[in-house]
Amino acid sequence: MRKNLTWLMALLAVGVVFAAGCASKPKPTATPDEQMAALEGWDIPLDPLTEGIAFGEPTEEDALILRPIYFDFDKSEIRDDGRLVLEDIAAWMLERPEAQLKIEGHCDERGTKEYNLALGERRALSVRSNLTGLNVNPQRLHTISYGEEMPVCPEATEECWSQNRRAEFLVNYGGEAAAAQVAPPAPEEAILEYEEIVVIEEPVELPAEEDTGTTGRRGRSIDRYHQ
Amino acid sequence: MMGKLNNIFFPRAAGVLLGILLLPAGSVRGQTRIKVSGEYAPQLTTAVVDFEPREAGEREPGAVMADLLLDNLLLTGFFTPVENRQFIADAEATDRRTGKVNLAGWRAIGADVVIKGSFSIAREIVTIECRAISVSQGRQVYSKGYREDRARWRKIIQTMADEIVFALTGERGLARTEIAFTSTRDGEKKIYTMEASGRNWRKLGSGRGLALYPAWTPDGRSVAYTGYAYGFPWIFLDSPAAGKRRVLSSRPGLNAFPAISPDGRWAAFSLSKDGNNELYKSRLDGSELTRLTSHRANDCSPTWSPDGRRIAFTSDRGGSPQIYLISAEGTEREVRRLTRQGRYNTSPDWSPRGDLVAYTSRLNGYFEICVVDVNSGEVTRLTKNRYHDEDPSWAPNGRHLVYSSRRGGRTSLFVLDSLNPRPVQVTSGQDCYSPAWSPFLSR
Repeated sequence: MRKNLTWLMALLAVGVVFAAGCASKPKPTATPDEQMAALEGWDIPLDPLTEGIAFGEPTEEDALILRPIYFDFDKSEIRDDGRLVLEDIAAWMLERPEAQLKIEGHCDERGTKEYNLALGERRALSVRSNLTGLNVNPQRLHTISYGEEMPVCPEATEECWSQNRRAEFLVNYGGEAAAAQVAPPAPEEAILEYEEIVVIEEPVELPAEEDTGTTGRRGRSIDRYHQ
Repeated sequence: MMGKLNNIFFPRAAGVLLGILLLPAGSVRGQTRIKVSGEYAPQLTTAVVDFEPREAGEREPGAVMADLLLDNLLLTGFFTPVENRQFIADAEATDRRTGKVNLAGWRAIGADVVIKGSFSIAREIVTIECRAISVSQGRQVYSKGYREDRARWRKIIQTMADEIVFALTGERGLARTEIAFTSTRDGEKKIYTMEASGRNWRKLGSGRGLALYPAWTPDGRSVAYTGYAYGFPWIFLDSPAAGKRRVLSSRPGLNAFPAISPDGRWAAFSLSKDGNNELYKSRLDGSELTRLTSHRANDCSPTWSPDGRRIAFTSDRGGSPQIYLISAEGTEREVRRLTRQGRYNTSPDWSPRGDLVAYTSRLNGYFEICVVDVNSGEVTRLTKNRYHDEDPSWAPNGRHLVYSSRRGGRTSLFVLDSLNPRPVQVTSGQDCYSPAWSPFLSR
């Protein structure tokens, strides 16, 4: 059944690519990466979060299901080990129709910081699109990237890096548990009250000197340079 | 209140320096200032004498002024200091005794340039005067004085530093610019600004959450950045002087990498709201959202060309992250790959001066700063070390760059002259990342 769904999505994706190709100039053949991305359903729009929804750590028992997904260096494709984990997670989500997941994408420190923020989002999106392919409603999946800002392992070793290249899950169980945390302001138009600028190093102040009461020193200044 | 500095000698409009001669006029005719062009970069060994109090009083402010002036000269990479302060003191003592500038004495301690100044403080007004003597040319090349509110003494010194750089090299100095960056000084990364020479840190706001990747508006009044204050990465625009913070984009998923167009009317950034990281632009109030890229790859880190018509960005559409160009009107058909060397090129920043894009390139396993010519595709490598140099940002003069470098376990900001790349360290003691150089600031 899953295979059928995959084929259906592939067909759909080919249709989309074909349509896009017709709309513009002939496009070069899609690279394997593009085809892969097409298969995974990348262009399902994200849904806005319900205002004030809070995500927390899963219970100890659920944490055994909602395990991290690990990635290869500079990649956002789900590996075979990750696919197995995602099948468990999809089944878990289908049993709990009220639950929502926050998918956190992380990177190791080896990429550039800027690119890693984008890569972390790609990893989270990759997890999301895979879960969507396993029949999880995309409205229940929310992505966030932290780039390389939150490593779980601090050493500069492959052992550590491989643990840091990951997607992690936070959960909102729905119903009673959906407590408000941070109410975000109305988007876009909101002009927020600005917090004070914090001056960290006061510029050096010139010490006060005795007021000599002299004025009109302008003439003297020029004289000085003509002496 | 925030006017231009008052020039007490010459009318405000007079931009041209009037060199007042200390030496016979004959030795000056036909002299031109040292040109900075092409590959040539000056190396001027410079002695800055502590500024002299005009009336009996504390000498300390004069030393602080001389330090600030010297640091802002060194920032350009065009100057090296006469290191031995005793040499400077001795040569100055001779000048005072004889009542003139003894060129031979200054030449003997290796000085190409001598800078002297004086100051006085009366009530809340500070008067600072300064002159620069070219030892090799045997003439005074700069002489000016300013009278201002005492609180603005730094602005006077910075103005003088820029004027001296211009008088000696023809290049615009950088003393009256700032650098925005992130630092872990207070725990998680926040946005800070500082003077380009590394002094006078200010923390932008004190909101919750991580704050990353600052970018200036062209008027130098606002800084856009990616902030996690509300749990997800949103784009904010802070205008500290106006006391305002605006949410520029808060759509589902990633909102990141804002870059403001040179005319100040558009912001380009990445959003993942449609299921993938794509480039968009909008007005600074968030309206007129326009999608620029439509590709299943990872599109991020936009930067505007000086004419505002093109955008360079990072994309892995070819299989590895590379720099691409797209029309600012956003037509996928016109996307052109810019970098062709190496397997990992990110973080582009388009020079305000011309057709150069600086970026981070992974070379032999380490990140280095490179520059690519937009027209010819020619690549120039600016750093060659094993320190992980990242995130270049052009100075508003289009010649210097600031970037972060991981040396000795700490990440610090460095400045270099792209035509003569010898890094000058501007931060130490705190980890600093993601620098963004401001436009020229008149305040």
